[in-house]
Amino acid sequence: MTPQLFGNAGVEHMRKYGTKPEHFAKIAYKNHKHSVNNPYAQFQKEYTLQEIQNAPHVHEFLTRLQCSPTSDGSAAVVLASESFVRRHNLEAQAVEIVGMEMATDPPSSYQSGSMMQVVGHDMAKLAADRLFAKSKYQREDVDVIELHDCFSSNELITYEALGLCPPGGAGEMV
Amino acid sequence: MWLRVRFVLHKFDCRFRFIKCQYCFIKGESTCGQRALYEIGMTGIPIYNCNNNCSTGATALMLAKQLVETGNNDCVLAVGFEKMQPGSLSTTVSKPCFLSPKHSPMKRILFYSSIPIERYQPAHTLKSWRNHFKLPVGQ
Repeated sequence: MTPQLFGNAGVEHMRKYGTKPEHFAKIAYKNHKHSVNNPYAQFQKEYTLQEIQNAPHVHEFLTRLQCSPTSDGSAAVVLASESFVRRHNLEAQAVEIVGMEMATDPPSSYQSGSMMQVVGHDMAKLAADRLFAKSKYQREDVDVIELHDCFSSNELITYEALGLCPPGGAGEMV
Repeated sequence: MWLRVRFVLHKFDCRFRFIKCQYCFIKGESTCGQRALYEIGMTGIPIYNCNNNCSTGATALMLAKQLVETGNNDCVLAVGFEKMQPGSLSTTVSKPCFLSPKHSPMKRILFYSSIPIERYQPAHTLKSWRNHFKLPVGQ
């Protein structure tokens, strides 16, 4: 069912802004390319744009290589207060969290009749707006983004939600 | 999983006794965090389990950050692990709530998503839900 949700959200974006299936495929192309450099990635093979577009179709324009696989994994992070970091001389390896926000669905997610909203556009926008309002940084200051790319269409829609490009500009940005 | 924790603790240059740490734990059955962490030592520290689907890791991280911010804890470990079932994600809702497949077909909510928010209030009966879902296709 999730490919249908995100696939239909992508179709809505295509209808609304004229985004092409190639735009979504390019996102998957970029992400697979990144995996080559990550020894912990589940798949570490680079695919051509053609291979991605010719992979078996899952739903609408979404091909298998644009969908996240079933996987197992784990991760761990140690969080410490500033005084703790100083006490143990960990400054060199510490990363400061300058801001963090979490949001859930506003009413518009289900009222607007839009699949893009259902899969979390407004929710992501809400969190991003809150974050940038609170922190001293702006969107232009961001160098690296780690983005949930369960489906290529999710990533494209989130570009706009985070304000990396104006609404409808994600296709062009890709 | 505990290998990953050891790896992180090793990278962290664990010179302090991590008995002072407080663990935030994620995903899976209740107390799976205890089960996993006991492998690397039973230190008696508090362990919390949480599950928030795809945002479980981010939730654990956020809670850990807030625990540090309160000043009650100096050092918190956020850990996540998952072993997925084969195949696509499925909805496994056991309690009858508005997302229960029995009472409210999920697809209808998502594809005819024009349900007024008032419908989410418990005052409305399941009957009104069912009536609502009898909307013809395309509405």
